Amino acid sequence: MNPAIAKSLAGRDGLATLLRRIWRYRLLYLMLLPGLLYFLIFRYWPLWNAQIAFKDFQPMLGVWGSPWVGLQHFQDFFSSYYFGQLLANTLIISVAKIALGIPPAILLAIALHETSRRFLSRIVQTMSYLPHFLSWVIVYGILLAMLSPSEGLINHGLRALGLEPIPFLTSTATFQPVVVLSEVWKETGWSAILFLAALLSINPALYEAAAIDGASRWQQVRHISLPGLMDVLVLVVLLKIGSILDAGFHQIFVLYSLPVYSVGDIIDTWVYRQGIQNFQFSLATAVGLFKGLIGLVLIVVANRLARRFTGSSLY
Amino acid sequence: MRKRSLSPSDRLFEWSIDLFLVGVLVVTLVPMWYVLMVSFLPFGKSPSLFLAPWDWSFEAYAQLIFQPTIWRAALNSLVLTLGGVAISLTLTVMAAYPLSRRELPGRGLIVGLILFTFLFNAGLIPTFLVVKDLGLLNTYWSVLLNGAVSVYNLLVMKTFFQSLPESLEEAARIDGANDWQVLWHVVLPLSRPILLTIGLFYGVANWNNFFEPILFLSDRSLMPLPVVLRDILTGLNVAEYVEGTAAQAAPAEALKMAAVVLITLPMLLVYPWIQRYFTKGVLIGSVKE
Amino acid sequence: MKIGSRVLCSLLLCGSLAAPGALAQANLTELSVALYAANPEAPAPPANWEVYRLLREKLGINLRFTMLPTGADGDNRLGALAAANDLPDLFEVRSLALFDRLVQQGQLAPVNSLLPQMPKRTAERYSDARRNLLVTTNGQIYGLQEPVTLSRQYAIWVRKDWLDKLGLKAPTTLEEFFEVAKAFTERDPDGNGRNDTYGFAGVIDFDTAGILPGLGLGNHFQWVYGAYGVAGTWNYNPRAFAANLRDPNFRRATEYIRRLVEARVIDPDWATMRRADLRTRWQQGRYGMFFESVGGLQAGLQNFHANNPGAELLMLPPPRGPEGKSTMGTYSSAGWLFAVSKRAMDAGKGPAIARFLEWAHSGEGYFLLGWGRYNVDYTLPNNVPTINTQIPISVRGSYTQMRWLAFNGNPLEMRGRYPEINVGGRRYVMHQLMAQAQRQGNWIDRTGDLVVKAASNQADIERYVSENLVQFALGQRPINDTTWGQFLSGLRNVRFEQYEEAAAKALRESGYLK
Repeated sequence: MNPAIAKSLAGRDGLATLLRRIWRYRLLYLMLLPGLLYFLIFRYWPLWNAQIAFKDFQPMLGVWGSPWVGLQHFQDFFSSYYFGQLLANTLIISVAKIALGIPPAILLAIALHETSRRFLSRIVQTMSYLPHFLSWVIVYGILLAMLSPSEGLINHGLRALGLEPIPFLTSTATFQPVVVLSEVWKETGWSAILFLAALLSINPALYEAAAIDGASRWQQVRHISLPGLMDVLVLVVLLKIGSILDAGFHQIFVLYSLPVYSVGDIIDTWVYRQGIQNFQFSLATAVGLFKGLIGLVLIVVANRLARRFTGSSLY
Repeated sequence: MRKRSLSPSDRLFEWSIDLFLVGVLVVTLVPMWYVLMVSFLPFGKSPSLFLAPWDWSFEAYAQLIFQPTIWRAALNSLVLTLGGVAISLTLTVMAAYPLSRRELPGRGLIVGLILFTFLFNAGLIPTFLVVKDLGLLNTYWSVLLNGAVSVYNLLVMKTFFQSLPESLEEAARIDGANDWQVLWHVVLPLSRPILLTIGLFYGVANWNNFFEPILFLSDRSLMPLPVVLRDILTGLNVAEYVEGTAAQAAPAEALKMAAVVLITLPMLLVYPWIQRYFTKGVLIGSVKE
Repeated sequence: MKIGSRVLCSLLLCGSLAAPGALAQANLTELSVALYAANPEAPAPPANWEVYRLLREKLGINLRFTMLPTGADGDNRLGALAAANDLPDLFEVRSLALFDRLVQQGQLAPVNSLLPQMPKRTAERYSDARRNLLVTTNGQIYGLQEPVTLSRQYAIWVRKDWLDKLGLKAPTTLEEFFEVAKAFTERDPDGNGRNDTYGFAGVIDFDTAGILPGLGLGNHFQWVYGAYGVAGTWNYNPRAFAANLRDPNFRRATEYIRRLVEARVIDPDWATMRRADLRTRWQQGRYGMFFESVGGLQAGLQNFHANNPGAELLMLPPPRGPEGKSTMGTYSSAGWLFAVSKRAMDAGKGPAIARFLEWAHSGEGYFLLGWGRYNVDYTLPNNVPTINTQIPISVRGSYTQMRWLAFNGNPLEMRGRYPEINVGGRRYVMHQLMAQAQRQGNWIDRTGDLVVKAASNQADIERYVSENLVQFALGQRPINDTTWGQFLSGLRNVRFEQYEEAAAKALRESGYLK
């Protein structure tokens, strides 16, 4: 038989099998349909609209009808006076959040794991997860109560000690620390869950053997718990690096103000102000795409690295 | 627990561990406690960490509670939260279950397509244009649908379904149950922890959402509580929420903090009931080995 | 009683007129109108609002009214609607940057053809050629530019009772102002034994309701720059036109504000406070002097006197600078701005819009939109519309959300809106205070500022200037020749020269700069 015909027959056969398989799972596909439609409409259609990053978007002409301008909006952004500052702020805040956020989470996980008081452990878990569920608007309210120069608790304390009050939220010296530490306050408990899980999955026999060998509790932590956390730690760090350009839009959007723009303005807040407040839709979309692209590259690379070093990965 | 004869160094270790945990508790709770205290602040008193109970003033709460605008906003929040949870959970379960079935043809491709949207986001304005083209602007549907499915939650739920013992599903299928029946009668009853946890995630996200309502809704009367709270905190339209002409009997700080407390309260009431499922629910799906 | 009875009879008669009108439902014109909330404290008018019915029956208009939130949220909303090519038929614009952009993108319709269709309104509001010039591009008028009705209503208010208590006189110069502010901060004027008062408070506010905030620290600090002769963005000197911030006096004014900040006589929250915070705090009696509009004062008097028995307020003329100059700030003679979308005009809604606006201008429409329900929300003793304060603003405010379309600033209206108020044993004649604020403030007319189109990077420019000035004023950066020189030379980075040149050109072409 002619090999080409044989191949095409096999192909038709393969196609038929495939169709039959698909038909067999028709109910599952039907179940999947609404979700797929959602992603198509609300996630892929915007990607199509994102072409206005390369166009001079004119609402009257629509997305498709607006004239192309190439990379002009990208050039405008890179040559903008504030480009360097935005990138620096974004990276500084992001890196500080990783560096200062992970150690307390590990510490908390170890403490929760090691304590022999179950009640304390329970209540600390319940309470420390809670801030994760507060919105940044609410946390802003809490921060106002703590930090306001005229009414805040901390400044009341400073004044009682005869010190000058510090305008934490409006001083260029303190704004970034406030952003980072408020994130640490909000998320430490929640991030500890992952580490706690890793600790719980360590074989208890290891601890028992070590105890019999006369290892102190501290030595057990150092030689059993900490190494047991390494995989998760590498994974968490790498994935955070993947999203390093997300320095926390919602947080900074509610916290920042004119006096601290120079240290608080990040790419996302700039995009919001240009796009929504100054009606430069194409420019904002271009910067959004730029950020998305860098993020995509970083996260793919990070994921590769995570898989290589730990064998586990996000996807 | 691992409790044997404690050496002095181990005792020190235990003490410092417990001390640290108490410290975490204090650092977490003091700010919230202080917010509560300030919300009870009467006129002419300085706020302090311990306000004598006879000094407590409920004026700020009274001012807020008797505002029709607040109640309207609360109702809006309720509709958005409950409606959002219903829509999101339904869509997520219906998408996660088929994707948890390894034998489904094209599963990898579909998961890849979904994952891509997680990694690469088109941004604010392109999304806004979609909502507009669908004619959803200024309707609840814009807020409810735009954020309906979270990729993260979907993947967590999918992993959870995969972790369920297959033998049960097999048994049901041998008894002649179709996929819908398996999902409804076998899988979902076993998925209580994950449904509650993911439901809480969606609920909290919707309850806290202030950005999309600002973006998509133009009618003031549709705005949910977080928008109101932001306005109160940043002093935008305070007059809208407290009667400007009536003799104001509560200090501004108390009003702000009372608003914070009122908006946090419903969540605090639900949270403890669901919290105990977190570790069970979240961990199973969070890391793929 | 003429106006009143006319309203009354129309209110009574409309019932009998309803029947024939109802039959003509078929050819109703759908009209969407979006305005910034006139009473943010009240919800939108109810669906069964009489005005909706009247418009259907008498003018053949089915009105759909959207209330925009005040402030940046409202601007953003309009911008978003513009991006979606979904602008309302008739709407209010407060952001001039947005207005310019909409004209550029062809989303607005010229209103020239509407003007003759509403003769009365046009004669009284839109017939000033110079004002129309502000919204003219290529010979076409793209907006309904209203005259201003209540600009220049801002002033510095001082606690007369505190002055008396400390044996001080009302300050007239910057130096005296500083001393009084210091005394108010440090000498416990409220006598409660606590160090909880401040000499002065203002906030960084760029609201453009009738006055021009200029580049820099906004409305509330213009008087300091005015005392040094550099109020407003531009100097309007035909021979040496430039931005005021290049003037050495601009630095001196900034140094004065810094002095206030460093002496801690300004509320330390000033750089982040909003207007509402300022209002609550002066009402609580925390400030010896504060910046506030007459309208804002009126709204807070009740609280203020309830919280501060025996208090008395005095309007302060703007303090004089070293060369004797003084002004509260700059203003424009242009008021609210309304625009018509091109889509509406293309759909043939022009005549309906003109009909509606003419109706809102006088008589029945004026009273219904401007004052609400007769004998419920207001009455008309001696032809002065008088608000019924028994009904809370959160209720009656709903019925006057569209009042900016109606109000025209006539003397009776002003008396009605700014009545005499007796509270805390003091008598405030608000419309007289309004006139006093206009007279006493030495306000500078800078209407020309409005012909200067926003630069393409306007946001960067505004941010650059404001951010630097705040840092200087807050003491985060020293003020010396080096740092100030850096600030000025840094203007190049935000292409400030081009902006200046464009401004000079626009002002010359329009005749504002001779």
